[in-house]
Amino acid sequence: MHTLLKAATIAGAALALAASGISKESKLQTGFLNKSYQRNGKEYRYVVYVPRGYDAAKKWPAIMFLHGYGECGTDGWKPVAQGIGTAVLWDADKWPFIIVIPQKTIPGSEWEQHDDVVMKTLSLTREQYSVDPHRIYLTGLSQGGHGTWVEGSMHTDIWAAIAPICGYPGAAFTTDPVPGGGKPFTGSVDDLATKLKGMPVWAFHGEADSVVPVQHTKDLVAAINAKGGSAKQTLYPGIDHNSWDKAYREENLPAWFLQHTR
Amino acid sequence: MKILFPVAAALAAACITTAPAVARASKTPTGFILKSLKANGAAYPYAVYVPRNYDSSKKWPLILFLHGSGESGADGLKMCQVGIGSAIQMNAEKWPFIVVFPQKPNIPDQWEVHEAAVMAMVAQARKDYNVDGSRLYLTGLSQGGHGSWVIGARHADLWAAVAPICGYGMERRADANNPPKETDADLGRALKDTPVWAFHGLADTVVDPQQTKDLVAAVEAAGGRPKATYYPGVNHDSWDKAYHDEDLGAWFLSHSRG
Repeated sequence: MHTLLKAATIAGAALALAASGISKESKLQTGFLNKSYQRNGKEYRYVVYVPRGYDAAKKWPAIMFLHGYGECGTDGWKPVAQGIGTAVLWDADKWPFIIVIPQKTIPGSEWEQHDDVVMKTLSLTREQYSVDPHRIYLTGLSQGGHGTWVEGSMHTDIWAAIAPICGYPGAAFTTDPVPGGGKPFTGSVDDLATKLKGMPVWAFHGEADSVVPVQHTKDLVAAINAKGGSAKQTLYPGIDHNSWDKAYREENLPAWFLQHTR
Repeated sequence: MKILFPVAAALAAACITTAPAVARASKTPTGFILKSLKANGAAYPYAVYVPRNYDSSKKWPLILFLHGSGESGADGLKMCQVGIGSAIQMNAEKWPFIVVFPQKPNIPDQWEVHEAAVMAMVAQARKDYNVDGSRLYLTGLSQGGHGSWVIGARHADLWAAVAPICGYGMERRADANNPPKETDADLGRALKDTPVWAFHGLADTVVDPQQTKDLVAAVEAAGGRPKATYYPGVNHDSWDKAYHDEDLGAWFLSHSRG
């Protein structure tokens, strides 16, 4: 086995060269960056992913990611550990996007009640980075799938495309008060479809989802297309609630986003 | 529509009662920061985790994390997803450390092949951040468990503690034409005064848990007092338990070279 010998040689060479000159760190700070803002004396934490090749001279597409129930909190980080964050960590070259990852602090409430958080983190990101206003996308899973349908319909002037994963139409989590927050969505599938009929939509759901029935996605997609919209759906046979693992590893999802510009 | 989440009530209550966090704008960007350096003429992308509350007027402990074979590559980010990286994302409060994440450029190389680059990253992190030199820790999984034993032993004067997970020594990878550079006994002697916490799944089908047992025995034979945790029924991915379920961060902090 001569790999060890080879290894030793290379290690020796590396030692010699490393001693002679190690390059300085780049001034540009990229990666999964901690961010926060203050409102009414409270700190709102979020994370922004900035790709290694980020260059402020170029306009970058951006994705807003809305997490699910289990990642609610105030730590700022948990939302990175489920969904798009893990997909980007695993295959960064496929995701040349600025990605905004806010955190919903109150589990028993819906994303649309935290519309201010979504809009604030997006506008801060647009101030701090060179974001292409024509290529801003929205996606999310479970509660964030619901958030994607509803926030998608509330801001059709912002999103170039949306990708809701295992979401649902009507608000399901309304047990916790949201001081100063918005109202949970009480409209119908038809209301959402009317607003989203001009929006490129790619929806995902596990057919064996035991938490959020797959019928919700089927109904929403059918309603949009009945109005002349262009919603597509990918349903995974035998997959339970965690369809996001498959969805964010779909080969074509990043490219599909990029096909759509406003 | 009614959705039942078992822990909903408890979590909701916990959330509402969370006290407002203290505001603190730091000039140093924090998070998983992408970096690179050159060693041996090659560019090594790597990452450094900097806690949100990093404050350069304080000295911070540092962990060097060595990933497994599957996270090898040149993307500079994969190694933040498996092991200590995901543990930090799930529970950042438990990891108040600067964490250095080198990436091994290919699967076949063992970590010691890239020892110079790895040590250069530690040195660079000590320049970039206010690191406490008496609290440098080393951990890794699988190939990185092996790297923890070997680079741990070779720089035993540096580490305040070492935690190799499902690792292995050199003896079983060697043959008559290519003797190991260090025997298990050599590694054991080098680490006899270093606090070691080794982990292995007893149902590991990729790396025989006997490898960890042999190395732990070698440290003991040299007079050391290593700690070992073996998980019955757990296969190769013992790192999930080690980084998520154990108080490894607190154990690290209980050791310093002060």
